[in-house]
Amino acid sequence: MTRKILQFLFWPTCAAAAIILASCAAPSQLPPAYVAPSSGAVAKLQVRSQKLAGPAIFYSFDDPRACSGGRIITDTWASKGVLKGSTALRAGEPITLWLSYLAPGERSCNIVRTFRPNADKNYLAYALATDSGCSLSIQDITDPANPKSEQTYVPRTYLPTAASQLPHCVAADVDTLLAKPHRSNLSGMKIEELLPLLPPDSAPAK
Amino acid sequence: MSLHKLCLLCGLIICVSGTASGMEPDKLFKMVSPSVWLVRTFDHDGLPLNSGSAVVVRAHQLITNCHVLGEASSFALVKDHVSFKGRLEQVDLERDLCLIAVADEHFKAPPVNLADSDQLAVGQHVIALGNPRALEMTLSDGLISRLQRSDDEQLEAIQTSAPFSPGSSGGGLFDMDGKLIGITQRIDVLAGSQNLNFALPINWLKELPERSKAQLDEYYAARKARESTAK
Repeated sequence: MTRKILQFLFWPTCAAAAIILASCAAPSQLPPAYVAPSSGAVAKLQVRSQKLAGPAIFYSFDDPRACSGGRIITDTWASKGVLKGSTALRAGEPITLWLSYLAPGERSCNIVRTFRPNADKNYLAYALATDSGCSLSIQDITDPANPKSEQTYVPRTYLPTAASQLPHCVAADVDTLLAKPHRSNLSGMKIEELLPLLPPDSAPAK
Repeated sequence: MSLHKLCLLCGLIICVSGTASGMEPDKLFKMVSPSVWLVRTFDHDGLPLNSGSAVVVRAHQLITNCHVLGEASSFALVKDHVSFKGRLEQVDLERDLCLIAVADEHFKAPPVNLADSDQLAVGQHVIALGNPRALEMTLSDGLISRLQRSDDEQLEAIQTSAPFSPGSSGGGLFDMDGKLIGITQRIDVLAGSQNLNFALPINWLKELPERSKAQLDEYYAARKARESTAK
């Protein structure tokens, strides 16, 4: 009996927590739902996650460059702790996706990524919670037997401000970044980490 | 066939098979070990930070993994209690390859011979030489287990059963003729994995100067743009 009561209370509690989370993100009200394009060339996006221990919301933005006009694609309280959804994306236009996850202990994990879907392609956005936070991959699964990491996938800088938890994105560079082929980074490092070792003549003369 | 001719033929067969399989590991070790060095990094207070390995590829120049040098303020090349101050010359973070140099004229370590890593085959015997856990000059052996290629069939990594450990990074993976085929870079440490070790193909060394310049130019251009925006 107690178990049933707990089960009954669990999802409304999660929903309430998520609403609180969302209200932090958008102080006035919950962002509207994402509306798939009704005409023109489209790509398919499927969203999945492992079972998450806290509420999560998966957004897109009306303005993918500046990350304004958030819209909910799916969330965890729609499908009991997992992100699960499927929608269409306008092909050829950049789309910015935001995974917002509140892990146990009120540790929040936010990932903002932009990519440019191609017409008639099938993409999978997969969210994974880890001990240190969360991750979000985008794969082209048009050929399911041969999934490929999406080549135009660009990480965006998540910059919460004091006034809002909504991401602030540096818009200027996104088209340049999307135009470049995806490059792996086997070292996992940034050049800044080697600056003390670089010879002074490696910097161009001012 | 006379016994004399039969012995000559057997000798010839043994000689040929010996050449095909390359050198014995002990001879190989003697040949290449003067060219493999311990990299010791230091923080801005001069305290020891990390250690790894590096291989001499040209006079006064060594190749290592950039991640060995991460967050260091200085580093030294060490062997047999002798230490030389190193400097960073070229950087390819995307491929985790950094070229370092020793200016000291007393640094006489011989460069290794380089193999053509596009000619490798799965099943080939290899040896790895480096400084795992700062245990200087540790030799291990194994096979090329797999050649990892990109979609356009370019060699991206040499998977080997020759064991690596932390500190092996930047060390040499050699064929049995003592030629450098790769730079030992990473291990798969996921639960259940056994002896899945990866080296970077040595042919990437040829592209390092150009790629280093491109990455540094891009970094400085982006920094300049950020500084202009901030003003």
